[in-house]
Amino acid sequence: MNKKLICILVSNLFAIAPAFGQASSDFKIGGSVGFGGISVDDKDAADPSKLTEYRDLSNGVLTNFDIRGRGSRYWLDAFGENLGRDDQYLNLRGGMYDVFKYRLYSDSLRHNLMFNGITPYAGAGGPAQTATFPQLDPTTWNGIDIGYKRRDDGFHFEFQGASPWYVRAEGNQVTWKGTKPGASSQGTSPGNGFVDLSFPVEYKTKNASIEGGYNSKTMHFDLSWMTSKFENENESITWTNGYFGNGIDRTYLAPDNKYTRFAGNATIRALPLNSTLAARFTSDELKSSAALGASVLNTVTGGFASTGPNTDSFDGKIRNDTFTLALASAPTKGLDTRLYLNYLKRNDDSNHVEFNSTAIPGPFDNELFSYKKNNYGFDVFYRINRGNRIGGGWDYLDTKREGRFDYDRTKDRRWFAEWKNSTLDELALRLKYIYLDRNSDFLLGDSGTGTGDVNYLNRYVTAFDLSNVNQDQWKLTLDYTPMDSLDLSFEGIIKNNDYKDNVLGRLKDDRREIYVSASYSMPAGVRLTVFGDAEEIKYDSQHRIVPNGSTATGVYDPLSPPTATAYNWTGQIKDRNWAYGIALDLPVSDKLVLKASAIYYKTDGSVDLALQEGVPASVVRPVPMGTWDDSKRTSFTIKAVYAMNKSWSFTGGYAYERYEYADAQYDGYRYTIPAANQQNSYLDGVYAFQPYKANIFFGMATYRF
Amino acid sequence: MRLQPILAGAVVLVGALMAMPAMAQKPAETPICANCHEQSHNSIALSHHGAKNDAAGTMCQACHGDATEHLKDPNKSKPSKQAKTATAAEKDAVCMTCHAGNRHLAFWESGKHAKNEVSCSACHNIHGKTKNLAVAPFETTSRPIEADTCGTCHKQVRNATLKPSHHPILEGKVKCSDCHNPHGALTPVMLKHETVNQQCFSCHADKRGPFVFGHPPVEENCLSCHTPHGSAHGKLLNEKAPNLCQDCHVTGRHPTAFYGSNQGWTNPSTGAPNASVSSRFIARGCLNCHNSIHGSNAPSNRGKFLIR
Repeated sequence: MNKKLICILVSNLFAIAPAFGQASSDFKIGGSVGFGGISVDDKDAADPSKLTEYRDLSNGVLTNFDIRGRGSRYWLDAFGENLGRDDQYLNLRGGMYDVFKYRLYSDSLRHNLMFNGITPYAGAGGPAQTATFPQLDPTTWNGIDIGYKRRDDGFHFEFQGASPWYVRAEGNQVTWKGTKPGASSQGTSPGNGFVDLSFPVEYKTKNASIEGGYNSKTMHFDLSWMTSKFENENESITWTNGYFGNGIDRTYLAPDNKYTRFAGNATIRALPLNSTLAARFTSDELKSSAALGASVLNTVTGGFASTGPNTDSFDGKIRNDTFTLALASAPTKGLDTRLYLNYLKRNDDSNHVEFNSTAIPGPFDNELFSYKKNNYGFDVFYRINRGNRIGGGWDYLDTKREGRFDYDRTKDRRWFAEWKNSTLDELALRLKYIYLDRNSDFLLGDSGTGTGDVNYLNRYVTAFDLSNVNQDQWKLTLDYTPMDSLDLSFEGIIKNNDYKDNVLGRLKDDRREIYVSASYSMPAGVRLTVFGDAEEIKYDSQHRIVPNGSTATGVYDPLSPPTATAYNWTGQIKDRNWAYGIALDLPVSDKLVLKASAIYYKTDGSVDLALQEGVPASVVRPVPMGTWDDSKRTSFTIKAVYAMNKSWSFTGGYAYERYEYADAQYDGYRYTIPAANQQNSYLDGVYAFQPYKANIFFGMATYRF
Repeated sequence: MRLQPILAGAVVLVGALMAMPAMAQKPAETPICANCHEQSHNSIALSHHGAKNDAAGTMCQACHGDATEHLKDPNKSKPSKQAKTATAAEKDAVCMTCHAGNRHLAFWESGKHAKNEVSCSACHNIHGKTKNLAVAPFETTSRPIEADTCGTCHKQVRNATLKPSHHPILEGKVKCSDCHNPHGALTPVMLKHETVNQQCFSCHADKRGPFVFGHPPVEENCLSCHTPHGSAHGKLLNEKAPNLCQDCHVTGRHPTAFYGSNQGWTNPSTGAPNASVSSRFIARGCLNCHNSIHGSNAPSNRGKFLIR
């Protein structure tokens, strides 16, 4: 398809070229064509997939073209690069001014996730992955790479010839081909071991939409309809389960789905008080269906058990309706206001499914999750004088939910205040503060009959995504331009979330970040930018260990004194990130420019763990994690661009990249975890060997016309 | 629906539309303004603005204002509209004179950029003025990266795209405007779709479901677990498992246990292989078993606990 597509696009260019030729004096065409190559040395990397995560760095030919045509009535842009490579990009845009415009494109991407892995499975990445367990000697396993290619081919066409009326059509197809990392427990408890799997990725998403509307300086309205169909070639895969007697187990993957949406937008300008009224509604529906599994692999000798579904199939259906209204006004000079309201209703109209059987007693019901959100608020900005502008706003969000066992309603109140100062021409300051107060209706506050009832612990199941929270957020921005060619900037952020009523789970999280940069630019000359960034993010949490099946008083109460079997522990996760970099454009002569860029990015994570004070010494203490997604990425690029004449230029360069990675979950990695009773675990190496070092050489000759 | 023939047909149609009326092109004219402002003229000659210009400099005057007096005596008076002294609203008003009828700008007045006095020219480099240099790693694309423009103000967001886990933004495969509408939207953070999840699902269609067994926080807000611009942790997660999962799952047996370095592959005190490796801690932690975290169609407890 790649070759076909290139042929179509290039032939189209040639087809239209003679037409422009007929009026060559009218239509100016300019552009460039480039041809070169790239050579990459990454031989020291055990798994160089991270190096090539989103880009094709295979040794080979590099190409690009960039053509622009302009006439008094027509225009055309054609751009392409990396032709025939996994990150190929083709784009053709054009049109007739005020009559029509169009775009055709194809954008490819390679997402590599693991090279040089190994697996005990034959057929890894396919719909049937087989092995005979135990297989504890990895030297006998099969090689495996994990990753997929994604390609997006699409177009749009807009006709404006009957202005102010217009019509627009869009369509695209996104194709995914390859594999992605997967895994599964072998039994139903983690104690039975797990296996790394490679899931097939053979997706196709087809999107199409049509929009018609009216566009003028004072009014806009449109109606649109879109459909999006997702198809997965493999809605489930089978794999050999060593714990369940080498029986054939099944993992369910994403189902096909179909999404349709009807939407309307409207804007009316030039209303009283210099106002603009904007409105939008959408109504969409998402559907999927799946046959339900009536049995599952369930015994250590490879036997199956009935799951006892109440119906043969699942018919998923979710409907969203939204409506938004916003009134933006500037009633007097310097005053700027906005009033708005948003409404969202999500209904999960899927059928009720329940599994219950003698072999696997339940019931296991699906929970249909629906909610309604009502949101309204206002913003006001007022320019006090030329140098000072103040602003503030208030926002209220009321969410009612059905289908969550813990919370059925939350109310979020948010307000902000900001001050912008540009009294000094060369200095701009912006200070903004945001406060959020979320109050929730917690449904489990009376759970359990006493502190010895296991259900009592539910009183503390306060998931941070909906629990009561106070949030403070500060942001300060300074831009200083002491001279035309020099920009200095500072940005600082403080954000604190205090989950004020939580006893277990996340208690608070804090983020602090400082960014500074300086840029120096001379017209058509030296350009220099340096930047530095430091960030710290902290998450504090508390948890409780309880003995299985105990009914002792106080066991399920995190406020009770600790014992050897019932006690609290706390965790503090810290992520500290640092980055600094420099970029330089240096004209050496009229014809030669050197361009260089260097970046160092370090991430340093840690987890501190501590037991509740008073926990008996007999309890094994946790050992903190000193490496927690720790990484260092060093990248350096230098290239020389030599403009031989107006037509020809040559670029040659070198890039160096080094990535170091350490993590407590992967340090000392092995491919197996041997265990008794067929409970061995088998891993394939994904994410375990990320470090790489690469030398990249590249060059290109470019012809301009 | 077979898109390939439709695409090919569209290409041919576009070619025909382009070829047919090209003969009717009018000669392009050099504006009088170019006699003095040659560089400014050259900078827009191959743009839409330049293509629609004429000998009188109509397009020049459309932005810079009436130049009648300026043309009579360039030293005495300037055109009526001066970019350097104009406020953001005044600059925007000039652009909106022609572009208010653009469908992308339908919600400009309600958008955050307009409210925060971000003028069109803050992002659109009309005359190709030298921009600040962006610091970037080696990439295989030669296209301008949109995040470099947005990053002029949103510096920390641009910096986040350098983190180990990121969308392919600096690689040129995802643009800021794929998710946000910089020209104004009625949604929070000017998302193109109505909600965060609808936005994410527009690309990640495999996560849409509906699944037999869902995961409500996932169904309401992807951002409870993920951060969109960049993270130190894989899959753009705010935290990694087991920490992230344990922030909500505080009951049951194994979700409440602590997992530390003494449950890893190596004994932290001796450096020797650890005999008591915990399969709940190493590698992907909770996801070693609960791999269908976005939802599952598996039956019974396999689906309920998101393990198949």
